Amino acid sequence: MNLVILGIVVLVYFLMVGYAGYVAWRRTSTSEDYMVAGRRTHPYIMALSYGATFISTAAIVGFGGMAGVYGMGILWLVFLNILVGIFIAFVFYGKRTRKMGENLSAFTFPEFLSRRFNSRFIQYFGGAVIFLGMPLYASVVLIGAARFLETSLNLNFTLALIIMAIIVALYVVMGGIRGVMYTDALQGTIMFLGMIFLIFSTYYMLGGVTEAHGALTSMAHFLPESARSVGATGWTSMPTYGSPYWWTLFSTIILGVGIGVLAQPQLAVRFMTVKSNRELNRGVLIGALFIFIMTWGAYVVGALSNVYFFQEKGLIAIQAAGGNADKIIPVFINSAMPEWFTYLFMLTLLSAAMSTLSAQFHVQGTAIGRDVYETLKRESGRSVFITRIGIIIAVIIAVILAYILPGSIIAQGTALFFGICAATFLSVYTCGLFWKGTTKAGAIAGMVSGAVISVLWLLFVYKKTAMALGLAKSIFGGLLIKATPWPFVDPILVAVPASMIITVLVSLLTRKPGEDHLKKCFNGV
Amino acid sequence: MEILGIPDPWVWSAYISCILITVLCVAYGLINWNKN
Repeated sequence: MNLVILGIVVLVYFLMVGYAGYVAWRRTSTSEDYMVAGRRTHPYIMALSYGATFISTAAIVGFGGMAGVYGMGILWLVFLNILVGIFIAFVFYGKRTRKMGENLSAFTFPEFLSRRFNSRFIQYFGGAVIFLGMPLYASVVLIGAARFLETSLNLNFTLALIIMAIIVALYVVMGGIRGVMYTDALQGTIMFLGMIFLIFSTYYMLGGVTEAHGALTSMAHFLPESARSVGATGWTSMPTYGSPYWWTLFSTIILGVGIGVLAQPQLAVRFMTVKSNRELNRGVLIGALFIFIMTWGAYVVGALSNVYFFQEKGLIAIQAAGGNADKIIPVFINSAMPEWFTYLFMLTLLSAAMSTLSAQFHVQGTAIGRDVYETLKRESGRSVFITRIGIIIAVIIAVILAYILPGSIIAQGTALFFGICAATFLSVYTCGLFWKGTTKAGAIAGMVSGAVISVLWLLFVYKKTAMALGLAKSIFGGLLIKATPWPFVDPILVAVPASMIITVLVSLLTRKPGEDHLKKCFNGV
Repeated sequence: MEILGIPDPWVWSAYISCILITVLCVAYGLINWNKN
């Protein structure tokens, strides 16, 4: 790869991103502009921003590599991502969130829940969960982007980290959510084009759809012993029912990430940035196509890379990638694709990281600025200033974490954040939108119990995180519950139902909200 | 039954379901393009 060409391509890309950020800054003057883009966003920008935020580099490289190791069973995640993350999210959650958010003049996701239930506690508790939980997730994404700059441009890792953080921080601090969404739309377009080319050329290179799958099926006996021992049976067959890998696939990937997406504050807030349901209807089309191409493409290509490596080098993908699943997709692209595409794909990965990162910084900034600081101080009018400070603090924390945390902890960042967010917000958000009988006490009990149960489960029961964090070992000498399947069951499967039951039970036992307030919330919903 | 070179019904149904759900969303978007 030619470093000068790559340097120029990356520079041009940064200039385009900078221009989008500049346009956003020029169009931002009020707090409503800064936090919900004046509620007037174009459906293309909204849907691509939603999709590009949703799909981080980990979804392409991480899960794509996982498909390379374990096979196509992971495609159920694509199905759920589109069904839940787009269709149900936009049509059922999005429309109600948009209208109710407008009725309540809410600018952030915690503020939306707080005004729905007339509780300041919900706003600062929700803001605190976001601000405490998200830095880990943000640092994972930041590391991914910095590693990209480090390996492709031969930059020092610390320098790469700082360059990435400053560029993203600049357009988020200046342009607010418009800065985030305009750059997301640009980055989403690059990601979409890059992945379409990758899918078509992979199938073309392997002789067509059926031929490529047939070749992969016939390679089942080359599956490594490490994958077979946890229950994987082949790249085109599901793992053995009830095996550790089956549980990981079923609970973490499919339910954890697939359903967890509904309660992501950085995604839910996007519903409040559009004018009417018409934009959301159009967004379903654009968003579904985007998520389909990005995730389905990455997983299919990840799995099929085995065929390519076997035909060319006599190796399976994980061997060709030197044992590191995260390298399967990059190694495949470097070996199998034309050189000009490697440049485009580099931008695809950079775009995926930057679009996710910018949304994380923005939502953390609004969480600490508007949700925590302003709610506790009971002052308003300086939202944009305080949020800008919040964003800068979020960026600094993410850089520090990215610099000091060991790889074993960082690898769990995404799942950890998705789990805690879903457990804290999902049941209360759902009840708030669909059940008028939900009370303030019920909502508080549901949020707190969801957060506490998910954190305890992550620390003491869920094997992946509990072993990486080490607290369970130092207190109990090992996992709190050792019997299968519990160590492999994602916290979301335990904490969300528990939080839902608690929300409903406490709501049934406590004083109902006033009719006037409900009328205001549900007006036009 | 093998479909598109994939023998396991759970895997080929996942493969096809992804396409079908996308088509459904595209159809929904087109039908409701101008509906508010």
